[in-house]
Amino acid sequence: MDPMASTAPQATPIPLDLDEIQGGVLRQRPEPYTGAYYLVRIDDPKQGRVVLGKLQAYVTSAAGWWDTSIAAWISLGISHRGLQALGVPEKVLTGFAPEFRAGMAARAQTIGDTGASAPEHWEAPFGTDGVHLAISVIARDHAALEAQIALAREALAQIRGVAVTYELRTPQLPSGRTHLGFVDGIGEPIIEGSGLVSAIQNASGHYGYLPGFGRPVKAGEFVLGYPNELGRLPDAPSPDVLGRNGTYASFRKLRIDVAAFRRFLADNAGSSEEQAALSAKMIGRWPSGAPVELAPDHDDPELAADPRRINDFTYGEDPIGLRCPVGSHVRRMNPRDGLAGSSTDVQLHRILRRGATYGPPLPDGVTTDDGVDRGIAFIFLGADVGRQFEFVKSQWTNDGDFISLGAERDPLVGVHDEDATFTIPRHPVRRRLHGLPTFVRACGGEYLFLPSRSGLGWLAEGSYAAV
Amino acid sequence: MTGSTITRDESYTPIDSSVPIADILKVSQTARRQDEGAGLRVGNRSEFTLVADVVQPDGASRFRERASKAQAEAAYWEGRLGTVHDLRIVLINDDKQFLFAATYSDDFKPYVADVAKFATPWIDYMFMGVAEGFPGMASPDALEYLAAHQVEAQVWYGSPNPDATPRDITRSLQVSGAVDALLDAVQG
Repeated sequence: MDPMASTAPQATPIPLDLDEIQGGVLRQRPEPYTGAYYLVRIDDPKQGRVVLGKLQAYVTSAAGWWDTSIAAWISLGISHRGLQALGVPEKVLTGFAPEFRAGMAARAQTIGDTGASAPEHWEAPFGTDGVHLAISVIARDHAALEAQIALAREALAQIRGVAVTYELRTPQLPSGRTHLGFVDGIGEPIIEGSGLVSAIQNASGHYGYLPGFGRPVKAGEFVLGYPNELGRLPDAPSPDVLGRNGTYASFRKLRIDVAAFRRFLADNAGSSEEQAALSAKMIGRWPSGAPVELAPDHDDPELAADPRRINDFTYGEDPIGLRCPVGSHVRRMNPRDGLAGSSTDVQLHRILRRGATYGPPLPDGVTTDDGVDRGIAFIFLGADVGRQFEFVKSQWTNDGDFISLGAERDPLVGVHDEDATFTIPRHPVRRRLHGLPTFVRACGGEYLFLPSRSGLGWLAEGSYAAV
Repeated sequence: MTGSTITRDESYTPIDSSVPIADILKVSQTARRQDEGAGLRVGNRSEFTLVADVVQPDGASRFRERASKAQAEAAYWEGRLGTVHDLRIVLINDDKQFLFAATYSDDFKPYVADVAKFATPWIDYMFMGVAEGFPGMASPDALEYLAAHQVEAQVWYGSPNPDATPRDITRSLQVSGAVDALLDAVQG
């Protein structure tokens, strides 16, 4: 039952159909990166299909996804409202996941989008019926980004009844880190049959197995049409051309209150070293990316720079979190072997994560909010929205019972009530911080379906009646 | 919203007039329906009650044969689940039906896949060939079977501490045991 055991696959993995899967599903952002997101509203089904057909030509496949030298790529997601706006009939729509059909705003209570994160406070057009298509462009540099955006704009130009309603630029910060100063995007599930263990090893010149990533996860956890961790095919819409090689994405625009985070550290720790240590206990990694489980007292940039060590840790020897707190962000998001002894199978709740920063950095040392919108645009990818994204949000982010912490929530991304706490296990007496403010709030989001390239073609063709 | 709700606005008379109303209202629990699916919830605790047909004519005798092994293993499986406070399975109505009633903490639906993957051997041992139409816990239709046969309590008491999980209670007992040991030691 040890989820981290690197057991050999029971059967030869089924190779993924990389030519069909959208590139954004498997590609991790290049280094350096820049990017942009667009939302599109379709008012005319026929014109919507024309646009979809044009855009489809620009959607990059996942073939050679580990090659980080590719200049730029476009991904295309469609919401349930978007499928309706294209004219997809109910008998087809009924095959999609119920969470996707409801839309993210309707799932707010379940995923904890309450208070300041409640959909009534979201930026338009999020939370409305008008989010239909989402276009993501990721590029190595500004010129490559602009070239791709120009292509997409051309596809949309002079077409009535289809409108771009929203743009979000996601340039990498000069630091190359998140707004809170942390290296991110380190841990990532290994997908069985995807052809390579991890992009991180490719970027580092390591092609063999890298320690710490755990055994490969069945492809059906992340792509429709392949067996999943339950030994069956994930629920998928019909016809096969629409569902197979597609997946679901949970898009989130998350605004980060950097000043509040800095103030909280200053109020609860003394020197800058102590503040960094407190932030590391909250997050589970140091700013360099070094895992707190391996470096419990000080940052270890040398360890962080070693791709063989940066992710090579488990929690089994640290069940109560004396090194890495059980309530820390990274440990909550992927408890690894930390839930051994319970019936929870962490492999059923893995998720692919794609983050990109937006907004300018808050200058060093500033501890008052300047009112500027900054944060992270996040995409969670997986074949089962309820069992993956919504589970992680409802059970591991916004609850503490799974680690015997009552109602305590994720210190970084949890939506906190009054007198929220964060517990740092210690001998002989734990430390408990009170009064955590909410540092991260959702200001928009939607569930999207990322069809295969053939699926996009089928949707663009519009012969839905033949189903 | 459903279940037994007592508010001070409603006219309410205790059965025993010698008991002050305030004493009753002070501990009264408001039960609400689970966020998803049937079953009452008080605080963080929920009831799960299911009534379904037994395979005829031999389902009940099969169940009785398996009961002692199931009883011996119950604490192992339920302990690993970690969220179940109590569970009973009762043959009722002249062996034509059975009652499955449990009290558990936290949510049910998010953990269905985990429970199915983990506890299938035990659950299937008890119910395959016993419960009419039960497709097996690992079947994609298992949830549908449960939903079709689940019934909801009209009255339910969720314990004096409805927010405490089984793990919380175990830990609290460990802590109070340690405090007792400390006090004994100090006493000399």
